[in-house]
Parts: sequence; structure tokens; C-alpha cells
Amino acid sequence: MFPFNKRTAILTCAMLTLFTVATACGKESQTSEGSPSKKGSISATVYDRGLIPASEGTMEENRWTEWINENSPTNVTFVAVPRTESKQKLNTLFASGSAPDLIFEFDPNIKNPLYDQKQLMPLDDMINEYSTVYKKLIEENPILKQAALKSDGKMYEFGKLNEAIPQNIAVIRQDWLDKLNLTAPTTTEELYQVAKAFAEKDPDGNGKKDTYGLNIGAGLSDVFGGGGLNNSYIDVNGELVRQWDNHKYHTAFVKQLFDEGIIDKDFITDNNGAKARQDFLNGKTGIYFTQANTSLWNRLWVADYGTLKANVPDAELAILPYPSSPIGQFINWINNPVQMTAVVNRSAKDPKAIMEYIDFLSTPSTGRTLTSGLEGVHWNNAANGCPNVIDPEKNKTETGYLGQDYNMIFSVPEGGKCFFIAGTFNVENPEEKLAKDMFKANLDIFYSMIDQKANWPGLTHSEHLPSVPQELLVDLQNAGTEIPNIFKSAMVSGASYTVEQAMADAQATWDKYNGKKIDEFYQKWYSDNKDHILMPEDIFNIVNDQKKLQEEILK
Amino acid sequence: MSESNGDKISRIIISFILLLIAISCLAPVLNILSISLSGKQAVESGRVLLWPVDITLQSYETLFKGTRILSALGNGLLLTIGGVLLSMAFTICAAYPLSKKYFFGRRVFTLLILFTMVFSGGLIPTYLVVKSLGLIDTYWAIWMPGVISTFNMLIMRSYFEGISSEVEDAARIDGCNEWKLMSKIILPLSMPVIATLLLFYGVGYWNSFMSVLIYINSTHKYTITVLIQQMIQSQSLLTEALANDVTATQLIPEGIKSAGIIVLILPMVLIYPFLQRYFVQGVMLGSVKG
Repeated sequence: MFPFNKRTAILTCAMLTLFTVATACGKESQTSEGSPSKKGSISATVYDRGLIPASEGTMEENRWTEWINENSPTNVTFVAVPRTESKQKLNTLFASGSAPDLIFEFDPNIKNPLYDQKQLMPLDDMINEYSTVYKKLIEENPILKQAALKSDGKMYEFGKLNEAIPQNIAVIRQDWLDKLNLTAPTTTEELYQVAKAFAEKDPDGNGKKDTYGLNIGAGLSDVFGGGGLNNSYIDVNGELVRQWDNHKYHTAFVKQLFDEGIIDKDFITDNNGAKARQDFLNGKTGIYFTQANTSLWNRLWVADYGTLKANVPDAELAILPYPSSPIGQFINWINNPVQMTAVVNRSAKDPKAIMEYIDFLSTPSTGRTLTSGLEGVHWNNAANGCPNVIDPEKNKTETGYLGQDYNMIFSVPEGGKCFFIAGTFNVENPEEKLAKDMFKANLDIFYSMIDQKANWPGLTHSEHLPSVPQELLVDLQNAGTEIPNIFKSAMVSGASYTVEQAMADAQATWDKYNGKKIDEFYQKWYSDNKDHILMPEDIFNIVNDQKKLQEEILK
Repeated sequence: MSESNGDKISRIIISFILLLIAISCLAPVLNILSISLSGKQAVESGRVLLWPVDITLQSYETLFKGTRILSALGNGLLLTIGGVLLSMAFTICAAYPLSKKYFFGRRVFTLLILFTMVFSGGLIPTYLVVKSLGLIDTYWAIWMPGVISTFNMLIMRSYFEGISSEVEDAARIDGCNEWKLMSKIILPLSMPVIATLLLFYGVGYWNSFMSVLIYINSTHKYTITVLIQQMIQSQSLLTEALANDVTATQLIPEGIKSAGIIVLILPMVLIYPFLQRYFVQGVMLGSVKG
């Protein structure tokens, strides 16, 4: 039973005391680690994704944090921020006055409110006084400065330049096209025809009507001009005009496919696209819309293509350039080429040390180490001058968790060709050779679309839109939930809910949630900041700047 | 008394329905277990249902070699065992006096305690209190603010009240003081409620997520719940994490997730059968007065 006598009571007390001591001790050993050198000391966040091997330590203390502290001009104490709960964590840290000096964060919806609450330090002075590398970078790329400016005309964010490449693509089953004697669709009307044929003419030849024309995946709404509610504007002589046609044509298109059984009837419940991917891998989908930047490119062309071939040996994939819609030709969404990634806590004590650290991170050799590891230990120079992994197994443990979490500020183009995705394919491996060829094919489509003046699906890149003020935030969130739901119910309700009715309801909902005020807010922001907002033309210019290098690598 | 035919039939039907319900509860767990043991292509083509396909331990290997799961498991156990001991000690010490009619200010104290079930301080104020007590980044920050669950304390109080006063009187005549009465008579008679609360507190601490996330800053003190949650959530962000790393394409994200879930639920699944006997009696508390 439960022998509760004096001895157990004393034991329990002793244990509780032990706990107190043990846990209290844990805290002490954490803070005091100052070295006697004259380096400045700062604290900085680093994302924790739970993906670091135990043998390497923690995200706050491992071989790379040691390397940073040995080699950088600054002592850095790292504070881990759980990747998926960073908003929650940063808010508590700021609210309690214990936020680190330097905060690395991708999401503008987390950083913009910090600016509104006056928690951030303007960066102009520290850049002017202390910076060399980063200062040079923004002088050569004024767009980095433009994107960092806030409404008071000062810079508040450090950022980086990225490789400007398509984020989403569509691929089509070339073997099905050949079998049914069709050509790849160039307009959304043809897209519908081809999808219908794929769904109805039994392209997999199993005698069953079990194929889908396409999936409702990443980028489909961009084909019709973009789906972002707060990004649905066009500039007409400096006035922002709210667009509804993009939503209308997209809704009508999906509705037609749904009514005629061309797409998966359950697409609405497939939130993360897992079911659509399964269908695609099982050879059930004719046209597959998917995200395909960074490592997803290899996932699609190396892993997924392999799985598809294993399931359907005859399968052949080709890239499908986005068809043109009734309101014009739109380009694939491009990943943000000018990405703001770091802000400084207003109460940071040592701006000089912060600036020196940012300079250190912006240096290409630092970028190389914090991406691939140490030369001679983790990689050697290959024939093309780019790093060649020495021992993949070792790197899996020792550099696998690096990602870009310690150098979120490093500008890829500064590092040269080896930092571009095109430079990372190992062409001796036939699968990666294919991935590289497809990468080239995709870029060729991409460049020709820009040359033909394809439109950007939206006003600009959504990460460069400001956050609406606090009093409109709930309205925008509500509208952002309800309006897409209206479109979705129109898509799946057949004749009982027409597209026209849905459009009327959507616009009424927009008005109900202060849509006019939200429009006015964006209008004011646009008029005030027009000269330094990153617009699609700027993005296309960056693409063209990088074009020569891309083509040289892919030659 | 023998069963009539009608009784037999209805018993069979009821058993059958219950069996179906049991299976429908078991199926998702089996599915997760199978996914965690299956090969990449089978998982990604959706061919895994209740039985593993192309059995491999790759997911578990990645999980144990590639993450801090073992130390997180240890942290989870420390947090849970420590928390349960503390909570039980404090809950018993609060429930016992409140169950005694002669306790001074019993009504007032009970009301004050009840008040906390309805109103709480909110996240930021609580955080500030915990911070000013210097508890940030220690498990005390998770144990202390919620060391007594009011609801659990009330369950225990009701149970104590239900123990017949004759037993108490007898013990007093034999020379027991309050402390002895509680430790030697009342507690041994209260095993069902103790087991129930052990489980309630245990599951609560084991599953605690937000509080660990908020109060614990050092990742080496993260518990398994936070680690697994991180892994599950950040799968969608895997692309951003692994930039252009080819090895990323060899991982089985679904499999690793599933393996993590299995490791996470294992301790609870192992402990439950031992407490179940008491648990059934425990949760029935208060349903019958007498």
C-alpha cells in the first residue's frame, strides 16, 4: 500500500530540497561565460527546430557557436527560439524586457508589430559609424536599404539578397499528353480541356476512371492573377484599385473542374497537400502544381520523380509554363529576392558589437563555413571550384542542422556561383543531372516570361507589404478567413451557389470588415513610400542581374 | 440467476459495438506505428495502412541519432515525476484540512480557492511574477504556478469527506494526532483517488507544452513534448531549414514524425495498465453518494 511514515516524509522532503538545488544550479552555470578579451558581447536569437543531434549539443552551444565565438569580433550568447512558436516566444521575451539584442526572424508579421510598439532600434547610425562590409553591401544594392525603411524614414531591419527563382511550378505528365495526342495547354481554357481529357479518357489505361486532371495546389491561383486579399491591387496612375476578377476567374475555374469531376472531390480538406502529393506519386494526377524552390526542387526531381517512376515506370514529366488567364499572363511567384531577416532590440547596449557581428556574418567566407562547414574537414574544393562534401555521413551529423539558421543575414549573390542552387547539383549522379537540366529548362521559361512582360500575381511580393495597424488587424484576419471560405463554398456547391453570388457576398464581406479603411491604409502607404517600395519591376531587375551568372553556371 | 436469451443477444450486440469503437480507437495508433516502421516510397505513396510496408528502422535511427530525443525524454520524466510528487504533496495537504468540518475558515478558504478556477492572471502577468521570483529557465516555473490543480484538490477533498467518521474516531481513541490520522488512516484508505490524481497530474505534466516553451529558455531543458511538437510543426518548414541540402530528400518526414509520436505516448501507455484498477474507481467519485 502506501507506507507513509516519518522516514518517507523525511525522504520526500530531502528529495524536494535536492530538486531545488539541482534546478537552481542549472541556472547559474548558464550566464557567466565572459572571456577576458576586449570583444564586445551581445545576445542573439537562433531558431531551434528540434533537429540537432544530441551528440552535437544544443542550438545555443555546439561546434558552430564555438566557431563563431572564436572567429567573430564579437562574443555572442545565443538564445534559442522555437521555430514554429517564435511569435509567442518573442512576444513574451519583449513583454518581460528580456529580449536578446539581435533578433533573427523571417516573418514580417512578427517584426512589424515590434516596430509599431517602438521596441526596435533604428540602424542608420550604427551602419554609418561602425559598418564596413554591410555598408558596402547596401551601397552597392540600395534596394536592401529601401526594403529596410520604415514609415519614419529610418532603417530598422538588416536583410539579405536571395537568388531570385520561381517558388512554385507546374509539371505535366508528358506521357499522358503523347498518349492522348494533346499538346501542353497555353491558356486556362486549354488547361481545362487538357485536364478534362486527363480525367475522362483513362490516360493510365487501367480501364477505371480514377485519374485527376490537376491538383488544386501551390500557385494555381497565381495563374489567375494571385490570391492574396491584401495584395489584390493594381496601380492605375498612382491609385491602388482593388481587384476581384482574379478571384472570380479562379473560383469559376475550380468550380467547373469540381462540377465535372476533374479534380479530387476532397481537395478542400487536403490542407497541406499531402493527399494531392500521394495521388501525384501514384500516377493519378495529370498536372501537378507544387512549391519547388530550394530543397523542394530536389525533392520533386530526385525523390518524387523516382517514386513516381517506381509506381508507374512509363511516367514522363515536363514543366508546364503557366497558361495565360482571361486577365493576362502571370508569372510564377518568385521567392523574396530582398529578404529582411534581422532587427535590433531598442534596449541593446552595444550597437558597435552588433554591427561588427553583422559585418562578420555578411562576409562570404563566414557564409561558406556556416552553410557547408570547414574546408578540409567537411568539404574540399571540387573541379568547378565549389565545395565537394568529403563524408556525407559525417556532415549529416555535424553540418546538417546548420541550414541557414546561423547566417540568416548572408546575401547569396555575394558568395558567387557556388551559393546558387544551380551550382550544387552533382552531375555525375544521373538523377541530379536531370534535376539540373530541369532547373535550366525552368529558368529558360522564366526568363522568356519576363521578356514577354508577364504580370506579377499581385501588387508586389507579399513580404514587402506593411502590416495593417492594430485596429484593422482583426478585420483583415476575419476577412482573410471568411472571403476564401465564400469562394470555397461556391467551388463545391454546384448550381446552388453561383460564382456571381459568391463575388457579391465576398465584396459585401470585405465592406463589412472595414475593407474601405484597409484599402485606404494601403493607398496611403503606397503614395507615401512609392519611391522605395520593392515592386515587381525591381524583382525582375534582380532576376536579370543574376541571369548571366545563372546561365554561366548551367552552361 | 441465469441470463435470458434476450439478455444474451443484447450483450453480444453491445460487446460488438464496443469492440468496433475500440478498434476505431486503435486503428490510428496502429497506422502511426506502421508508418514509423515503413520505407520511404511506401509512406509517400500512401500504401501504409495498419501494417508496415518495407519494414525499416530508418525513422527511429534518424530520430535517436539526429535529435536530442533521449535527453528530452529524460527531461520529460524529471519534469513529470518531480511535478507529480510536488503536486500530490501539496494537494493532499490542502485537501485534508478543507475536508474537516472543524477547520477554521473552511468556507472562506474554499471560496477563495474556487475563485481561481474562474479567474486567472493571464499569460504576461504570470510570466512577470515567475520572472521576478527568478524561476525562469527552471522547472520550478512550470511546477510552482500550477502546483495544485483546484479541480483535483476538490476531488480529493470530496473523497476525504466520504471516509466515515467512525474510522476517524476509532483512530483518535487509539491516540492518533492529525498528522498520523492523515498519513496512517486516511491516505491508505484513499488509494483510488491518489491513483487517479497521480494519473491526472502525470498526464498533465507530461503533456505540458506552452509553459515549457514560455518559461524554459535553454533548449537542453526542453521536454520531449516540446521537441516532438517542434518536429511535427516544422516539417512544413523543412525546406527553409535544409536550404539546398540533398540529404534532405532522403528523409522520411512522415516516418520521423510518427516515430516521435510513438516514443512520446509510450510511457503513458506503459504506466496506464498499472493504475487502471484504481483509476476506474477514482473517476467514479461523487457519482454515487452514500
